[in-house]
Amino acid sequence: MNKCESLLKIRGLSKHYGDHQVLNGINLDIPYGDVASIIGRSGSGKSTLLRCIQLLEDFEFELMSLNGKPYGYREKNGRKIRLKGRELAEERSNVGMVFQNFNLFPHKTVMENVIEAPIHVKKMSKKEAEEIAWNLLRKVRLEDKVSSYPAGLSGGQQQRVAIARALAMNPKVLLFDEPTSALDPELVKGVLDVMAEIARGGMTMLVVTHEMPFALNVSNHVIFIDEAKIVEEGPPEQVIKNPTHPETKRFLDSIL
Amino acid sequence: MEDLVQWFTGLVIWQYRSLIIRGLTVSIHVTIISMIASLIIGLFIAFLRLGRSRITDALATAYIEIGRNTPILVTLLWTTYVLPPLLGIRIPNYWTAVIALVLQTSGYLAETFRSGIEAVDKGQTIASQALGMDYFLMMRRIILPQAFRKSVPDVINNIVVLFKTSTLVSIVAVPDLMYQASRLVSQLFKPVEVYSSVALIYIVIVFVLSAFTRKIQLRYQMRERGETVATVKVPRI
Repeated sequence: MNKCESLLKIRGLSKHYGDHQVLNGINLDIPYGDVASIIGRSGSGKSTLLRCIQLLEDFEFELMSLNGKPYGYREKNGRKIRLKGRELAEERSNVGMVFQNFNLFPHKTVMENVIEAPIHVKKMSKKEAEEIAWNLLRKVRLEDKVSSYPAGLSGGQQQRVAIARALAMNPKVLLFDEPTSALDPELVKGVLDVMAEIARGGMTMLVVTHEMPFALNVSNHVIFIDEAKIVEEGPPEQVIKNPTHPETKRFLDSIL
Repeated sequence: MEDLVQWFTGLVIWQYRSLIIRGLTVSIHVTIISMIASLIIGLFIAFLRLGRSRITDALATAYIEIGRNTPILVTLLWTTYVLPPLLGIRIPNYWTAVIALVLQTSGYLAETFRSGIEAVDKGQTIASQALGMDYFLMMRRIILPQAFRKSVPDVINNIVVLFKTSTLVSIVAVPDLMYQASRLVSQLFKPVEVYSSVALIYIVIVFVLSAFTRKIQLRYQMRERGETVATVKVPRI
């Protein structure tokens, strides 16, 4: 992968909880417009990797760059200084995340959920934010639910609101942490369709998922993580249809 | 006999109504002032307990335990007769009474707020951070509103308890309803009528407050269950 084309570049990302090594020397290149599926067993470190990329966790690394610039830290006299406080918060808004449990704000309406961050983090005017929100909510087909509270929506609808809420901040990369795992089966397709549309629109996405059809048909890049390391990586035809590594074969056999 | 009691009760309330209203007014504003101070201090103490410093956590816990575990009468007598000479200043009994009430109530509220904040789903924090919110923005817009909603029943309960506890301030000559009642009894030698009337007044007020609590609780429960839809108009663009 051409260095200049990487939107997100990671070298040597490691993380441990006490004795347990969760991520071990992860190297990743995500080009602009890449739609990458991250697959692997539970506990393999997939979700932790996403949380590290979203700068929600502490971790060690050799290099982290977003759009060609250092991401999550500052260089000073050859030392890497992690961002903190408000700077860290601002940096986080460059990346968006959609969670397995949606995490919508229950005390706010759908519209209020979507405009909250643009108004208070990006300091947009209410009018501007609402315009953006309307467009996004139309895209996810929820324009008739703008005044509803999350508790009055189905899981699929809530997840689509969560997607709109993340998109409202115009992130450079959008992360999805098992976005359909908590949904009733009949609601999964609605969310996957929205994700496919976003992918077609050119958004760079990293999706931790168990939905193999999505990984195969929508993503162009599959990353198999096992025991804290990237074991195999490549186009879906290769990783899913013709895996080279025995571990990959074993994992796919166990789920397909 | 019952009719007689009611007749005299009515007579007493009506004849000395200005005294009773004055007393009730004092009871009410003692309660309100103590409540507002307790809410502010309680929230502050809650944050001390939630912070990273072990020292402030220990201090906050000590404050809470002393406030809650000391009988209110003891606290009241202490703030009125021990605290002023200790500090070398004169403090009007009205304020020593308020301080005593606040010492106790803020302890309970601190725990209410702390558990309310901790009860907010951790996913809310993660989602707020992912959207780029810093700590204060997240607390102000996302966490505290939810924590407060969870705390409302407890807070209103504390108001009712505070109102009932405020009757004790009469002991240090703060002219609340109980104080006026005692004065009336010593003047009229009619304890049955006076205390019956006053008891009735307290019962009615507490009953109204409790009914109000239940209504508020119901409304917040309904919101969480998604049975209401916002009535705010969102302009269609």
